[in-house]
Amino acid sequence: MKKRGFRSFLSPNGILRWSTTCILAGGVAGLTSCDQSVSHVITEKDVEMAETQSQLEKMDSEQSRLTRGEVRNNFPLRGLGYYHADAQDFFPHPYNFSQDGRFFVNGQWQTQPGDEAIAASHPTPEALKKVEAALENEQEQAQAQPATSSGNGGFGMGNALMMYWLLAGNRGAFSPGAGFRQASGQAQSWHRGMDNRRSAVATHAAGNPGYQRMVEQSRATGKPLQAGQSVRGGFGARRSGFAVGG
Amino acid sequence: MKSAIRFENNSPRPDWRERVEAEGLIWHGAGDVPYWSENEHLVLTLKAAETLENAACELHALCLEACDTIVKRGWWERLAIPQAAIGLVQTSWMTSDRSIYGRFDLAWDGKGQPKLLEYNADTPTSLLEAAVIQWQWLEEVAPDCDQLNSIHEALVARWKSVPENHIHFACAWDNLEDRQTIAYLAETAEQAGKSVTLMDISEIGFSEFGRFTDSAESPIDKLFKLYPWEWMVEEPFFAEIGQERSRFIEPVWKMMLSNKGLLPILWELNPGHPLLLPAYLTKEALCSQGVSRWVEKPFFGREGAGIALIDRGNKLATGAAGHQNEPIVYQKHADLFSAAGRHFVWGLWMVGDECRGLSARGDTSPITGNLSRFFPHRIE
Repeated sequence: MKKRGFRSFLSPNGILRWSTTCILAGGVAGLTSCDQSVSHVITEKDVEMAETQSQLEKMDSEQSRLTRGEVRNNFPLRGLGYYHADAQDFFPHPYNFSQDGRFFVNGQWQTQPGDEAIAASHPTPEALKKVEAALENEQEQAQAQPATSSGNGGFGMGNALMMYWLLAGNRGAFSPGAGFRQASGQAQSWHRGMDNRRSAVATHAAGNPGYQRMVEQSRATGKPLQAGQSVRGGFGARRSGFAVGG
Repeated sequence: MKSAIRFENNSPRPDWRERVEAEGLIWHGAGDVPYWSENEHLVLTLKAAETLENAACELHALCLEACDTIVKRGWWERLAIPQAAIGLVQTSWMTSDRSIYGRFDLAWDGKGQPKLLEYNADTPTSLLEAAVIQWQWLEEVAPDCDQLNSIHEALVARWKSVPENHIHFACAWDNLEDRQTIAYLAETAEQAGKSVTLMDISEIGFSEFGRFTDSAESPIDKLFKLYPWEWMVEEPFFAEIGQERSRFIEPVWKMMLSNKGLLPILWELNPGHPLLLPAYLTKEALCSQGVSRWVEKPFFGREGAGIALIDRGNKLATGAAGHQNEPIVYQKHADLFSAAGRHFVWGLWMVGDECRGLSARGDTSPITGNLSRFFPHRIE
């Protein structure tokens, strides 16, 4: 069999590809560098964008229910606690929170856990009063913060916006106070803030091909993204019905 | 005179399922359809086995010569190798990146010379059955006979020639057959003194230091990937391979072989060779040679998918759907060995540059597919 050697390939007509020459010459990190620009390591920015995306998705998934005036069981709102749908009110512990062999259900400690399949419900007028008070409190806190602070995990008034959606969906069931009136004036800019964040995530994803892959892997594994970790899934996208092998 | 090949029945081992499972063959049938044939096998004369072995060795040499020519002449378009891969393939070939194994599929009915159907050079499966399960069968069912099979010993020896001490093995993890294959290969590497890690190919990462990593962020020194190069080329990490190229087994130069586009090249370089079938990229070119019965094969077809058997323009048989958008090779049809209503394709296993094993797949269809049965053999 003929012995292989590459000297004979270095012809004046340049049969070697530019990329081949790069590789043979060594000293480059990858084929693309001959144009290397893509990073496959999770950055702080990736983590921030993933948190923003997660928050946006959470808000998107709740918006229609909240604007109908309903809240799902165990839904958390900062400043209020967790919603227990059967009791139609917010409480400090999650539904079925367990401690010392007891379970927290509809605002009461019980010896048995509560039913898991609870439909969403409208909060009572008393619960809505609590929501309005929490909304007012959140706005006061926001006003007291420096203008540059985004709060809410870099998310503007996400928590306040969800409270506003809930109150707006229950107009007529409570007497609007200062918190709701002020929020009505601000809601449009909060929505714009959401759109801006959505746009920032989309721009980041478009410029970082591995970003969406890492978000999907994080969802699949339940593990949050951590800066400095390798991005996985750069191979293995194809999962045909056939064995890979032949 | 004894016929070169014959098909025989034998009594199944009463505990054969437990026996083959104990050796690692977990998937030995799909529902009621068996994959492993316990009570039927093929018998070859020593001369017949040598004919197949010699054919594989000669074909392997022809294939390497063809690689040389492909690289020298830049016949990349003829193999549909994309621009992004050419540099890596060239480099991999020129620096002789190490290969572990491959499998020729040959047609031979026991008369004349075997004919090359294709070379599964990148991701061959059915390895465990060929290397271990049929050997176990031979020892327990026909201990006085021989078998063309030293695949296991050859793999262990081949791994010893790999300088890296830790080998990662990756495949599409949800596919049991592929997992079975890498698990067996990992065992041969362990017997060669290597430590191993098995993983899903999607778990591979790429670090800021320019190294591929496993899920523990450890750099991968050597990666056996049971995942086709033509798929990898289309995926995000392909662009990062560069200097990491030599860490991959099978090497990227195997793209030149595990590609039906090789068949017309072999025929062009070796016209009339007794081990080759006329093959062209157009039907017209093949028919102009007086061929009326041929097989249409997509460049990157696997397990019979996309294959069609044509006789005078009439489609006689087709494989599973798929690969519609790939270029097609038109290859003259060759008779397979047929017995008991089945058609058999011979698998000749190359480890490094040596032929070290024989296996057979049989099907009632003339097109070998994903579920075609595996038949053990013995040499008398």
